[in-house]
Amino acid sequence: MSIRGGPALGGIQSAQDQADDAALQADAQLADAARGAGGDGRWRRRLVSVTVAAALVALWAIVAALRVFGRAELPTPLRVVHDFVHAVVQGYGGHSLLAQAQISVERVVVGFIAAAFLGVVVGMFMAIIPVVHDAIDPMLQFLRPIPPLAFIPLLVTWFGIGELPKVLLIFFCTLPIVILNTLSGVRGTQKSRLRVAQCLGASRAQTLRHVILPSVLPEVFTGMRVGLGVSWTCLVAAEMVAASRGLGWMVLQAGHYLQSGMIFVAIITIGVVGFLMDFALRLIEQRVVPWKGKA
Amino acid sequence: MIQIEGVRKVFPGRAGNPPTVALEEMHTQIEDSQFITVVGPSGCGKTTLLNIIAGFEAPTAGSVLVDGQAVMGPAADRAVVFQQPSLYPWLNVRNNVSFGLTLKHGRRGVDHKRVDEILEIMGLSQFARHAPYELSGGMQQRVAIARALVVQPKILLMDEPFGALDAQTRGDMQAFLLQLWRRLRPTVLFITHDVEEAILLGDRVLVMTPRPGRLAEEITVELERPREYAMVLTDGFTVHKRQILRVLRPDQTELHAG
Repeated sequence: MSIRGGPALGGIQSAQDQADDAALQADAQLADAARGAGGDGRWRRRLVSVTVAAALVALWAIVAALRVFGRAELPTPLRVVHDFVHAVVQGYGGHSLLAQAQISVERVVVGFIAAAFLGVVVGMFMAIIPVVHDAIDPMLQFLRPIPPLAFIPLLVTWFGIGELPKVLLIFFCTLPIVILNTLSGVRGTQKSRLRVAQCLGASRAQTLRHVILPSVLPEVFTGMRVGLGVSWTCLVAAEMVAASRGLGWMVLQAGHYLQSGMIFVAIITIGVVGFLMDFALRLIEQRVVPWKGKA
Repeated sequence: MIQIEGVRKVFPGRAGNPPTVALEEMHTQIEDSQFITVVGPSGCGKTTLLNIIAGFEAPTAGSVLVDGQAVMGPAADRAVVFQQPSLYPWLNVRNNVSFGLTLKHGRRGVDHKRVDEILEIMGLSQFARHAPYELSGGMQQRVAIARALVVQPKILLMDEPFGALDAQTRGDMQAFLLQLWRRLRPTVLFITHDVEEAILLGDRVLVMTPRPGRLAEEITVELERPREYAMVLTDGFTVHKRQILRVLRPDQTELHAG
């Protein structure tokens, strides 16, 4: 996911990709349901996925073994496994792979949680109070098309290469996404749901608390999932420019020393960690908004 | 009593289009505990009428009085049930039903006996803990009706509540609604585009025609209560049906009802 969009393209494009992925997945599930495919169809589809993945690895192994490219350019799968074990056990750049991943995840989590929290609050205010909307919306629209990577030199100039600029970058990349989703969630609140509450004598505050807020949750989660993907992409980009630890730094560092095996290890780890974070958020989503997509 | 006095509704034209007269000047009066049905094709202003009585929309001219008081906005004395159940998916069936009571008295102040009672009447007791989206369409609509009635409104406004249901379920729901009405006796204003439904349920049928939306005729239904579906085969029913179709489809009436 994070690898595919490529950090250099900026977060927005890959965010779009991720949204597309989610839509595709939903389509696939629908198709499954339509076919009434229980265990059988699902296993066949999994088999296809696994076969193609295995074939790609096999192709990679063959190409590497034939020395089509030099050893430094394309490591063999075994080499990558070897480097992986090395990175886990001995570490790379003074820290084990787990510690490298941990520092990256910590940066994302801090920036992301701050952005998710503030994004929901700002989005709600924008939706409810027109003046707030008019004050903030132009800024959002202006910031949205700017690739996050463009801000990194400024952030480094202002805040150095510590934790702050990275967390800030993630924060500012994620914030507009969560705000805009919250906003569209509030606007999309079914009129009849509001009217039912009014007829039952709900005050404005009660309508907000008991109808609008829960109604918005599914869209907030959509925003958070896209936002998390963007956060991860931004972070890896930031770590490649200005960091001394983290998975992004690992990619760049290994690149400097032509340790292509280690580049693969870092890239694969970035993908896996990104997937796991999205998976965790999806689990939370299922707990918090079990009605999503059903009502 | 609901008094509708010279109510008129005009929607301003957008982008150079002329304004739309949704509801031409309308006068009528609805006695307490009456079951009034409003029938007409789409665009005849029947939903606009309901929205004005509910207080969702203000009339361009005229006024609606409930027990002598002008309607200024939505309030708990007038409950509304829409075509879509519009339940709250984050609440289970029981909490959906008690929603109005929670708003009024807080979570702790809910009269659980009353909630139990209405769940029982509605045949929803076993489903109290279910999520709304786990229920069938007909059951969801029963939850919506229970949610409206639990606050004991004087007036129940229903906007094509059974329009999205299949014929079988629809018949069941009609019978069910009549039972409920006999028991609780709210004033009901029931909107439909189904002529048979209008006659079968109503004490009085308001027939509306479109362009501009206006009240074309009021018919007092002379069928005994309790009503049952078999009555659609009686002569009395056919007479009413012909009366209504003559207004709604003047050119085709003899073909259909003849």
